[in-house]
Amino acid sequence: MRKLLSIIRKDFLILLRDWPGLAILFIMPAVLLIIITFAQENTIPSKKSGFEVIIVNNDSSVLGDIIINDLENSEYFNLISLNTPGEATKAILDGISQFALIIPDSATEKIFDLINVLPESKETAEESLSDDLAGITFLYDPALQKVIKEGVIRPLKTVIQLSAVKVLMTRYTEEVNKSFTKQSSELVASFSGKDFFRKVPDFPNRNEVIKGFREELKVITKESPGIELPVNPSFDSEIIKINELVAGSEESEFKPNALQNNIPAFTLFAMFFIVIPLAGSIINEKNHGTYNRLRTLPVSYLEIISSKIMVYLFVCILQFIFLMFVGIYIMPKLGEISAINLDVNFAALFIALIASSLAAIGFGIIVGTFASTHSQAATFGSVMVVILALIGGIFVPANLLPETLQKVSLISPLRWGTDAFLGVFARYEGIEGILSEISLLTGFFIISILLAVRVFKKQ
Amino acid sequence: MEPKSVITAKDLTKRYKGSDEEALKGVNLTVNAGEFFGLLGPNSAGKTTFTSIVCGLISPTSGSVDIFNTDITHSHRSLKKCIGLVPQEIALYDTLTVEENIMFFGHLTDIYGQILRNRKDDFIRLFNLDEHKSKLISRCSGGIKRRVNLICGIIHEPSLLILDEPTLGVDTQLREMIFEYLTELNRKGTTVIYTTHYMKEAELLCTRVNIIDHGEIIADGKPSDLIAENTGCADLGQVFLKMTGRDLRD
Repeated sequence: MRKLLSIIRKDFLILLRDWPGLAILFIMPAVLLIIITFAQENTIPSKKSGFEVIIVNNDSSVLGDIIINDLENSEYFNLISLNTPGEATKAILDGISQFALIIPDSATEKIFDLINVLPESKETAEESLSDDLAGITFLYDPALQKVIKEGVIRPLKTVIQLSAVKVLMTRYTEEVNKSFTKQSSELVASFSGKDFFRKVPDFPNRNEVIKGFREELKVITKESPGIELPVNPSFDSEIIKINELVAGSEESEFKPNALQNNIPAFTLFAMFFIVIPLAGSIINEKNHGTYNRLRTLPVSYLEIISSKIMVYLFVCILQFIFLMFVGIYIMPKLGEISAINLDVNFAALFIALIASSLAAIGFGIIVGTFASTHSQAATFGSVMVVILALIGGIFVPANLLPETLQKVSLISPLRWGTDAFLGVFARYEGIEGILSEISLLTGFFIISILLAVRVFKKQ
Repeated sequence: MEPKSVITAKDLTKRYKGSDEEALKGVNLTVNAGEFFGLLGPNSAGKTTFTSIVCGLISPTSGSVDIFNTDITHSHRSLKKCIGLVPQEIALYDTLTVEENIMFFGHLTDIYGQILRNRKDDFIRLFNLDEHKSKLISRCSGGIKRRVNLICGIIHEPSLLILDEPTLGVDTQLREMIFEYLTELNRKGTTVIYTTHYMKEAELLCTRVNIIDHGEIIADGKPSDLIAENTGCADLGQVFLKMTGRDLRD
């Protein structure tokens, strides 16, 4: 035991004096976590992000003003007004904004034309509705990523469509009311005419009844309010409310945010990056002769490797605590993001953490055992971690990958780890819920160690 | 009375994987207790292969090696405690200090507490390392590293000490210090196996030498006897060249 403690002390001292290695283990994942979480939070426009959009309103009628008003009221966009499409293009190319909305002078007329075509034929109306909306153009930076473009254009389109519908409904109501007033006046006139009552046969008190009817008709016609819009649609008013509920956790009111997914993901990413210092320490011992010296001493391979497992297990736990600290205290201070929710099953979290750490250590030991130089281990190790992370759902959810890659991702220990952590953090599962992932991670660790021992004995 | 043997190698052969030639071809060799034994040979003669088998780093293809009458292939922990190895390369941790390296290798040979601290202090004083003891190995000069490398191999006071070219790249002053120390250690009873390319060193230090070439022992005896047996040779260097030839080796 004293011997093992000596080896652990030695491994700790070596790790503590490896500043670049420590930076890889703690600073890099924290920086990645902060940048990627905020980037993800701001990719889709939200009330917090306030995306800047250039607007060129050439519409001389109501639609342009209503769109601007609705975009401003939505609070999702900050508008920059310019005069011409040329100015908007230049502003985009100059990097002032990445998006611009051009409303042509005929925009309102185009919308009103929809009303004119409606009665003519159903087919024409459908064509008009599915055609471009009032000739509005959306300009965007050519360097813009598709996902971001889609993320901005959708809410913009929604606001514009609602504005158009509002204009359309107002106009339609006016037209209907106009038509209704005209028809009721004609009706009253026809009832009021002398000829109408000549055809009515005689009955008791005939003249009084007809007089009373005419008076009543006049009152009803005068008091008729016409048609009023039942609602005034705007982007903010919830015409149809959609309730958001987290599946399977009715008890918890917390809805997972980007942080809830990213902290476990980047902790795992960081854990697997121990491949560089861990494999590096094994290779240094092999290449500097210290490993051979250890083999001539009364110390077993199990003691040598157990020390590394314990030291790096401690490091992985520290990484997790550190990233949790960043998630709870630093991230909410850096931006408007709610802290990670810790209302989780702690036993499941602890087991997921230990199993993931062991898998990462197993990976580091295997790379260190088979690689013969430090640069070989660093290059292979880091590239492999990035590949395993990409297919393992660290950066992009695994279920968004193509089908073949989804199948490949099932062999990634980072996928098992991500699934286990997401089970705990996002789905609030207990140990039973993540048992298969824990078994895979632990199995990977055991196989890695057995393989390393086999190679050691062969040497 | 027959001298007590520390190492007995019988028909020892070693063929490395992928190699056509045997590195050791049926070596029979005995090292007796208290000897200062020199194992001499040109490059690739089989010296390091032999010492590596003795230390348990590699296993022989055939044959056997007994150390203190125990088969080395069993590699008992207690046996390892009796052997000290000073490798040719600097086998130290670069990011540990001089003291930390000594203490660490001391602990691995089951020496702890005050005994280890006293020994460490003695060696630091003896090898004049006081002002360097807190330096990281990576910041030490070659001479200091050599001294620490030697201390780490002898900190547990082994009964059998194997030194693989310990004076490689060492200046005259340090070489003299190492010679004095090793001679004293041997006088106190430690059996020493010394491999070197410097024949003068072997002639000066060793009580008996074996010359090995192409994996075979080609000479065995006291340096003075070997010089006397080979007419026309004035020193061990000339004997070595006469026996191994002047062809350059890999």
